[in-house]
Amino acid sequence: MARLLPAPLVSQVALLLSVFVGGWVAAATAGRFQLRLDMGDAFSQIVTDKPIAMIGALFVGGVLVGFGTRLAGGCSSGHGLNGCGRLQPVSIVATAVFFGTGVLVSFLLWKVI
Amino acid sequence: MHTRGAILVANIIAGLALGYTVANIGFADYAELNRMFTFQDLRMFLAFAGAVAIIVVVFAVVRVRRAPGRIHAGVVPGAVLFGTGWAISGGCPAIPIVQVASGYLPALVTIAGIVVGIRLCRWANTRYFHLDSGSCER
Repeated sequence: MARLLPAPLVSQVALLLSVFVGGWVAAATAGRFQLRLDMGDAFSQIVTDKPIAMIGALFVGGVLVGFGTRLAGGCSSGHGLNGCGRLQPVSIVATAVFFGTGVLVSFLLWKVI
Repeated sequence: MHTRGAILVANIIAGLALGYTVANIGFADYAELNRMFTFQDLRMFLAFAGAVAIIVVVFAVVRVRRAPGRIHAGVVPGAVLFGTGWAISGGCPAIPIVQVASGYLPALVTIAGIVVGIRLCRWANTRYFHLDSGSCER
């Protein structure tokens, strides 16, 4: 079977731009669009309300997301939707672990930290 | 048919649908995400489970084959890191794009972090991990 080649760069960029446009249309039509320099009240209460700490938390969180998804070979879409949709054991394990970790860390942020 | 034009059109349709749906479900909202992870509101868990159920049925109908994939050494630690980052930043990893599109400008920092994390993983895999899964090489 021929190996599936990655989509051309223009298609990948088009996907990301389309996600942006789709998200903007949803926010604008629902009246939720608002340019802001924070991540909302919940983030301020649960994680931090200090701007510098917020930047640090978002950056570190982003690094963990990028590193983790690459290391695990997928994210909530790749493993969670696509892989679980194919009932692939590796995706079911990865999804259980990242949802479980998300639950644990969220409870720690909410109740402990 | 896998022509470049067909892939481009498919990506645009899928991207628009993903961004619109994810934003409306609430995955771009940190408050909603935290309520899901702390079981205060199961709506988004059910939305995710519903999406998986639909995909299972559709893939079975169109006979999509399982891609080769084994539970290699990077899966569990990678998923732990991803789950931790998701709970802290609210990004998973296309979500920050939707957050920026909704007006949350600090999510640009999350996007920058994700790019750094991906590159860091590639570097670490080449130098230390040597995983043959292709996880950090794709």
